[in-house]
Amino acid sequence: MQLLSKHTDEELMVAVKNGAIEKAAILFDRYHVRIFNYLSRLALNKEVGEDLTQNVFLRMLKYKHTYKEQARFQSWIYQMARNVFADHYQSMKKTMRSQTPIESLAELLPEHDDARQVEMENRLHLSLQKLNEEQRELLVLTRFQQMKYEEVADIMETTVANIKIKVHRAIHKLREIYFETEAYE
Amino acid sequence: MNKEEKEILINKYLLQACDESEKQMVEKLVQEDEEARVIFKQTELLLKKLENEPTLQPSESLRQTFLLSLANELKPTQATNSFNMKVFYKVAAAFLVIATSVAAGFWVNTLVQERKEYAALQKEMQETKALLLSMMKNPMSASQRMVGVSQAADFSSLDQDIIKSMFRLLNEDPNSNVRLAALEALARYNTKEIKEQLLISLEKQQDPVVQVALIKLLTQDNNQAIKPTLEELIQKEGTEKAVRDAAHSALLRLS
Repeated sequence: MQLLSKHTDEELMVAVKNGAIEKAAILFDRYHVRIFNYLSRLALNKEVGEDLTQNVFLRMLKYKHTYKEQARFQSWIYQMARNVFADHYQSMKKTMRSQTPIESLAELLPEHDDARQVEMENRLHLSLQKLNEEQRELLVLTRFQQMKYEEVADIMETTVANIKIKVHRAIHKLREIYFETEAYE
Repeated sequence: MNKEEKEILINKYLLQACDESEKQMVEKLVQEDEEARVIFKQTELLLKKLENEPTLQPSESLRQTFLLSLANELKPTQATNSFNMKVFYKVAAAFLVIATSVAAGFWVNTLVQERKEYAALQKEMQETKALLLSMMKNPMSASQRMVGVSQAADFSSLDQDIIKSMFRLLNEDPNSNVRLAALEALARYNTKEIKEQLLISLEKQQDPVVQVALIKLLTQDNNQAIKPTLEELIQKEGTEKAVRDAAHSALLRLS
């Protein structure tokens, strides 16, 4: 029901900023699945994705005063999610645990009875893992989450032209890795 | 046209960013050029795969934990509001008592309202406590148990059910971080009874990281009662070197 609120994300966030903190629950309901998918696919781990999503929304409450009224809420919350992931990535690097175990990748796979289908999904996820963080992020945003280039450019604070070039490179790289793996197999 | 140029154009086509003339160019290229055909098929397949990936669903506990944090954020705000309202009502009632006989009725009404608010608050506290206890018992997620412990320490000054759960986590949880979080939460209470139970926990404790943290905590205020336990730890076969060292230096500090 909360998703059906007539208010825009921006109106709700301004209300949260001005003290109507309970309105944050509506924003949570609207965005938590998307942010969870974004972070789980970046971290290649659902459990980590869930912890990081929790952090994003806690930061939203903590830093509500930094929200600028003209700003697009989606960009603001995704930028927060990017920062949360960057912090997590840095701490993982420090603790030398940046390698994602293969079992946690399996959690991201849909359930299939068909062994060939499972193998193909597996290959897609392994190929995505081999991309660099930025390329994976671009594909998650533009392909998994089907965001427009303008929206992604806003989140990543760059130009649409730059995003287009980077998405092209990411697709090129993914294709190379994916079909290289197939040829090898 | 080289391979990279073909790829750029094909990507553009598949991402529906081509104008009419570019579209025709790609369609012609794919018909006539084997290399372009392979790139086209492979890219088309990959993009379909990416777009058909199912949406992952988070567990319900993600929502519960957030709503709990939100409730905690709301508490001070509501307390302030309710304080302001109380002051307002009292001032208004005092003024009206002097002015009219309606004041008495208004005052009674305020009292009833306050009682209702108090009952609602009690109910909310009970519900929050139940939620915290269930988080602390969640066997599937160490992070949930840690959040539960930390929120519980903020929630209650000395609730016996919560303290009992914290000690159970300190002594039995399979995850060291959860044990440490429970220890950190219990350390905040700083009462004689809690310290006695922490000493018993040190005797039982099997996790060296927690043993060292317990030794540090229990020797902070020159607590002589810990000495026999420290000596026992030093003597005991199988005590980790780091724990033995910590016990030694604690004994030196205490003597």
